[in-house]
Amino acid sequence: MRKFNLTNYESYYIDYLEGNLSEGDRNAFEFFLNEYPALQLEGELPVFTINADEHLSNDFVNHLRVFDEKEKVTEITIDGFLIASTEGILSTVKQQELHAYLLKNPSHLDSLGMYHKTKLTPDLEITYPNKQGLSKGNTRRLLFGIVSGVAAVFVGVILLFPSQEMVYHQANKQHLKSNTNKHSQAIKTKPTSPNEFLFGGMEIPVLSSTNQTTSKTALAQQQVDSDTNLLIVQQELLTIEEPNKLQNISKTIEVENTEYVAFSEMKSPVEPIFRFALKKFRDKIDIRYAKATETKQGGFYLKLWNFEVSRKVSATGDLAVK
Amino acid sequence: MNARAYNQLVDTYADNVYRFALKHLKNEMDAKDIVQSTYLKMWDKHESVELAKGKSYLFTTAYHLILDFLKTGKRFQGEEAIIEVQNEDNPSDFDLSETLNWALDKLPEIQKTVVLLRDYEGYSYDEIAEIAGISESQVKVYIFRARKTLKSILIEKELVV
Repeated sequence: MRKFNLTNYESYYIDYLEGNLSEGDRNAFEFFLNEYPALQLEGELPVFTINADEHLSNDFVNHLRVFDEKEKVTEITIDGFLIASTEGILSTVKQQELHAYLLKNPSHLDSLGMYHKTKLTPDLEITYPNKQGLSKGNTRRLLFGIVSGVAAVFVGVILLFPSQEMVYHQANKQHLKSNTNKHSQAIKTKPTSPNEFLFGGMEIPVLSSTNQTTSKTALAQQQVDSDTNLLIVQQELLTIEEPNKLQNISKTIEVENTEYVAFSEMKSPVEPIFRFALKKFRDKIDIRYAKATETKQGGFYLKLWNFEVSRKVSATGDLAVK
Repeated sequence: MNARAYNQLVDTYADNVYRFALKHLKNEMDAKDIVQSTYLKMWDKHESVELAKGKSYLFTTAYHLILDFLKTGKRFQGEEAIIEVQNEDNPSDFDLSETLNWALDKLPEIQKTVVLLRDYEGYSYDEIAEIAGISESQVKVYIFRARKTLKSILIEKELVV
C-alpha cells in the first residue's frame, strides 16, 4: 500500500478517479483526501475531446511561422518573402523567384505595397531641446574663461595702478642698481652712520628694522609687518619735499629680513598680487581652496565684490559652478 | 573616448535617442529623462567605451532604461500625456504616418523596439540583437511579426476610413 502526501498525490489522482488503484491504495488515497478535503475535486473531471473538423485559421498559423528563405514561394510562405523583400534581406535568386510569383499572382502586389508602407520614417522635427546640457567640458571651459578673464582684469588693474608699496620698491631697486658705484664712492669719501640717508650731500637719518626710531626730519616712514616681514612705506615717502633728491641717494637702506625686488622683476607676481588684493579690498575679495580627498570635496571659492565663482570637485570629478 | 568624442555623440545621436525614447514612452519629460540618464551612464563609462561603439552603447543603454522605466511604472501621468493619448487613440482621418504611429503603440515593446531600431536607425539584425540582448533569429521573428501586425492594422484602418 502506497503512502500519499502533498508532494506525490497529484500523480495518482487520475488513477484514483479512473479506478486504476488497488483497493488498498484507493483506501489510502481516500484517507489522504479526508485529511485534506480542499484537494477533493467537485463533480466529474472535464472530458477533453479532439474535434477533427476544427482548425486554426491560416492567418494564425502563418503568424506563427518563421521565415525560411530555403522554402519555395507559395500561398503559405508568400508573406515571409514579401516582408523579406521589404526588409531588403532577400537573396537575388529568391528575389527573382518572388518577382516571377508576383507576376503570376498580382493580387499580392497590394500586400507588398502595404508592407512597404509599414516602414517607419523618423520625424526629424522632433529634436532633443538641450544638447548643450549633455555636453561635457563646457563647465570647465566656462569656469576657465571666467577665472582667466577676472585674473586678466585684475592683473591689468594692478599694472596700470600699482600700489605705493610697489612703486617704492621699484624706484628703490632702480636706484640701488644705478647708484651702486656712487654709493661705494660715497661711503669711501664721506663715511656716514649706518642709519643715515645721504641726499645730495645732506645727512638724513634712516630707519631700519634694527632701529625704528623716527627722526623729525625724516623723509620716509617705514613699518615692518610682523607677519610678512614686508617693509611698507607709506605715501609720505613719495610726497617728500624734494623728490628729485631720490636720485642722489648714495646709500642702501639696509633692513634685516627685507627684500627689495622690483615688481617687474618678480618671478611670480601671484603672491604679492593676492596679498595686495586682500589688503586692499579685504572683505570684498575672498579666496579659498582645498584639495579633494576621498572623503571630502575639494575645489576653490573666489569672490570679487558680488561676483562669486566656486568649483567643487568630488572623487568622481563632478563639477559645480555657482 | 575623450570629452570631444563624447560631445560628438551628443551632437549626432541625442535627437535619435530622444525620438527612440519618445516613441516608447509617449511623454516628452520621460523621454528627456531617458536621454539624460543614457548620456550620464555613457559619460560614467566613457573611458571604456570606444567611439565606434558609442551609438550602439547609447541605444542599448536607452533601451534598458526604457524597459526599467516601464517596469517600475514611473510613467508620467500629467495632463499633457492624457491629451496626447486621447488624440492618438482616435486618428480621425487616415494619415499614414499618424496611423503607423498609432499602430506602433499596439505592438509589444520588444517588437516596437526592433522596428524602431531597424527603421529609424537602420541597424542590421545582429546590431539590434546586440542592443536588445536577444538572438538575431529572434530579431528577425519579431520584425516579421511586427510588420504583419502593422500591415493588418493599416488595412483595417484604410477599410474603415
